[in-house]
Amino acid sequence: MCGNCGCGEESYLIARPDRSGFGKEENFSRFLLRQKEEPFDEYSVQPSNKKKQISIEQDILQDNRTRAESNRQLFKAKNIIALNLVSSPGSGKTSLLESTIRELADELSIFVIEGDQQTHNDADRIDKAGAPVIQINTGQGCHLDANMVSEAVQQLQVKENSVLFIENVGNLVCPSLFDLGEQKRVIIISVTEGDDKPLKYPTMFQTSDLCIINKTDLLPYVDFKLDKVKEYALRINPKLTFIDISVKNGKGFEVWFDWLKKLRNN
Amino acid sequence: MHELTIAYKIVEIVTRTAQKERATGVDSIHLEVGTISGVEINALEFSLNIAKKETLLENAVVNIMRIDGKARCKECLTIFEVDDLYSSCPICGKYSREIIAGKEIRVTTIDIN
Repeated sequence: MCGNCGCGEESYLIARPDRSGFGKEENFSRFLLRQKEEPFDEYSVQPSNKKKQISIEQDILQDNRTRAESNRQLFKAKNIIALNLVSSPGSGKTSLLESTIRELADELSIFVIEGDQQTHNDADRIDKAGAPVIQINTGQGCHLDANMVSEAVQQLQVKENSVLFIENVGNLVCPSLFDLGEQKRVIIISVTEGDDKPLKYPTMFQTSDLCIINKTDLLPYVDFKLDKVKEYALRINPKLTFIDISVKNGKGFEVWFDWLKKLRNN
Repeated sequence: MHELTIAYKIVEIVTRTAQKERATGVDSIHLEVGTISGVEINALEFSLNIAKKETLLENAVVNIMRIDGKARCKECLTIFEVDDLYSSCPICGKYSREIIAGKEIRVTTIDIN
């Protein structure tokens, strides 16, 4: 279950790899997901003794949106390109990042925020690939939110004029509702997943700007049709653009790098 | 199950208001949830039952008003009902449309005592 279901810690964890003992509990900082409500003391307030209706008219996601907007302003002020990478688990987000970091090390300053429910495995991989990285463990949570990203950005000390990849928790449903303050949302799907994914998980496709279709080297072995997935995705989001890629054999990387550099130079 | 995160947020918003009003309890809360908001109403009701416990909302009745999805075709400006995110315009058949209703996730009013 998501957020705080009562079966786990009501907090999330953030840690940076320091090569000695990364992953040890004491190296993670703990952040409360929500303040525990003070138990209500019925004698502490003067009761109003009056039934009445109060108008609130508040959007429930407004707090997250406000924080996301402040993240966005910070990124803009520091000329940071922030990208929110969303996908199902196993589509190849981390592998794509590893190759991107290795190939573009001389051209772009890259920072990475890794989001997973548990483990620092992905942060270890990014660290080895050579980019400054921070790991957020959401515990029971199924998505990153703007508060977590704000905290992680501060700890990671993301530099001006850099590209910040935020690898969201692998989940095609929940992260779609939570704006992190990113400039672009990039959805990654792989050809082993089935070409009707856009119809099954439309919200994520509707809110994304770029769709990367990964593992194209496997196309001869699966029933996945590139035309079909694109047609479905465009029904939901006519502005979506696509890049076909194989992290395995490097096909399509030039297009992806051009897209990144164009974004950086604009 | 992001509905639980949303349920806790609702409890937080309502509690803040109720405390400001010096309420001793909340009798009912009224929400608007769009049918294409990405929130599953059954899951939200279930989550609210958990989130309400030991709060001012403990005994509150939850009223959820469903807001039907509506879209406006960007080509021919027809307004039509949608219950998914991939329907084409019934008049011109184009997929280019903007959602004008059905995305709401709001607390509208609460009744306190």
